[in-house]
Amino acid sequence: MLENNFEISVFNEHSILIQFDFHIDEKNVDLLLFYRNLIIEKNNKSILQVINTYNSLLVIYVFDIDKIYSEKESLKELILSTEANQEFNSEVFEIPVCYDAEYGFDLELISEQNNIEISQISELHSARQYRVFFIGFLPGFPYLSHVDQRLEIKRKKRPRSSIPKGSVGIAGLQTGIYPESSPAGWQIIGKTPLHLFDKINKKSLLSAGDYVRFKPVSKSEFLEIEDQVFHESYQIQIS
Amino acid sequence: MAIQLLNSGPLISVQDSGRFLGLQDGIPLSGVMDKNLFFETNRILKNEINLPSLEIFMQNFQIKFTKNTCFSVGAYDAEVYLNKDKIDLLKAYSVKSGDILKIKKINKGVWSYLSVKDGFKSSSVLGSCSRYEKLNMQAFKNKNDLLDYDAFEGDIQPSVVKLNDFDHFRIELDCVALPESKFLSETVKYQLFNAEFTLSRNSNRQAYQLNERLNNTLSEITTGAVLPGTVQLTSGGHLMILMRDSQVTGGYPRVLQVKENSLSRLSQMRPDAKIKFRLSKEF
Repeated sequence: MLENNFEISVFNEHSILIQFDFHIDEKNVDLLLFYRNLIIEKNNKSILQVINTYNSLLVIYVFDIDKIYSEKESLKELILSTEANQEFNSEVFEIPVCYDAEYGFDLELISEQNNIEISQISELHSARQYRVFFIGFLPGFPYLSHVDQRLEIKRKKRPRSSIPKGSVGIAGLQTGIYPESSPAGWQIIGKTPLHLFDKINKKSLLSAGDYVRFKPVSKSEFLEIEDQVFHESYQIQIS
Repeated sequence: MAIQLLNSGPLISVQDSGRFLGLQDGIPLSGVMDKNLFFETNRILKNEINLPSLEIFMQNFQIKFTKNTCFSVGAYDAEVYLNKDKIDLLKAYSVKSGDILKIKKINKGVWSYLSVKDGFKSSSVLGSCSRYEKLNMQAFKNKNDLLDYDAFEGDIQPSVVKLNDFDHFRIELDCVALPESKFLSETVKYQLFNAEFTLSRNSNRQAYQLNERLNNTLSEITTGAVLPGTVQLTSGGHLMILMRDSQVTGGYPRVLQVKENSLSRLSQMRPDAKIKFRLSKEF
């Protein structure tokens, strides 16, 4: 069924790339995660890590060179012979975001370019649930899709040299959260007081497959939550 | 006690061959820039070859040992002193508390390694001791900072160095084609494999950039996985070779993957070095 739907290639001495030919679609996250889990399950001793992006899996092995080309063939067989049939019951994380102009540096620009009211940006952005496709770019940075088409906007031509930790941005139809201060090319619309990466336990808050819902908060609520996060008393709403 | 830092340039860090366990949370592999040299520096001490060592950028590096041990310094061509005596590279030396080691000058290459018998003691995070600033703080960078190791008494039998030198001004990188290379025009392909490129000053542990520009017509890709050694072609037509602290995903077309041996050698090239890509069918 998937025969012409994916391409498999050796990426380096110990890694294989499986690239699927499909649109970026929330349902395809389930497909990718299904095959990721399948590969890990069938090869638990020889595989270190399988990571996914929007439409690909990167399989990283413990061993080098000798077996990698035969391994590519067996991976191909495994995918061809298994029908993906599982949906994931993922958790929904509620992420508070303050969409004030103080944090949303590009609200005005988006409003002008996309011809919408500034207030509409936060409304549209927080109206839907997003899927976490994968974590990349920085430790804990979630790639979420899709935003409402009225919010679609290109990256900055020249990235900002630094934006604050917690900044929420849009690039194309993607939205994401900067887990730390960083150079940034995404258009910034707000900020969350939550930590997206737990530096003590070295763990990302979100994982591929999770859902995210943004909850608009006022500046004073933002500061209150920030204080609770600092004192480790804030409970993230997960349903 | 430990080794005590007396003097150092920037970019000094504890490294091993890197971490795999954080990739899905967006944490880079990291690890030593030059695996060949790092493994050899440990092997000379009869260490397990992946034991945490100190990676040193360029020269003017000086430390004091505060416990007895055996050490070796891995570099391609450098002037290294133990107290007042010039010493050999990739050779085991016994030291006593109070001895001073100095890397005075690096004549060839960029990165050198200091290993001690049984490795430096450094906490492991997600399966690796490698330092990556966004994950684990570096505790050994300022004057008088300490880095611990277990004391060792005795000598280590000499062994033969298994490391080939190479031209540090001009290098051919062995590469395999990556998915997006099939979309390159014939002209760009010709340029890619026939032109000589120059290593930019804009190079660090994340990526080495090349000065020349290709007439790239490829658009950005849907964000995909990248690895150290991945050669990306930016929308401006510049080539960028991802190094050990590379991000785990990227949006520029991936055209080539540099083989591991070539990547270690590339790490030792200085700005203005000449680079050519040599295509192989397989790894």
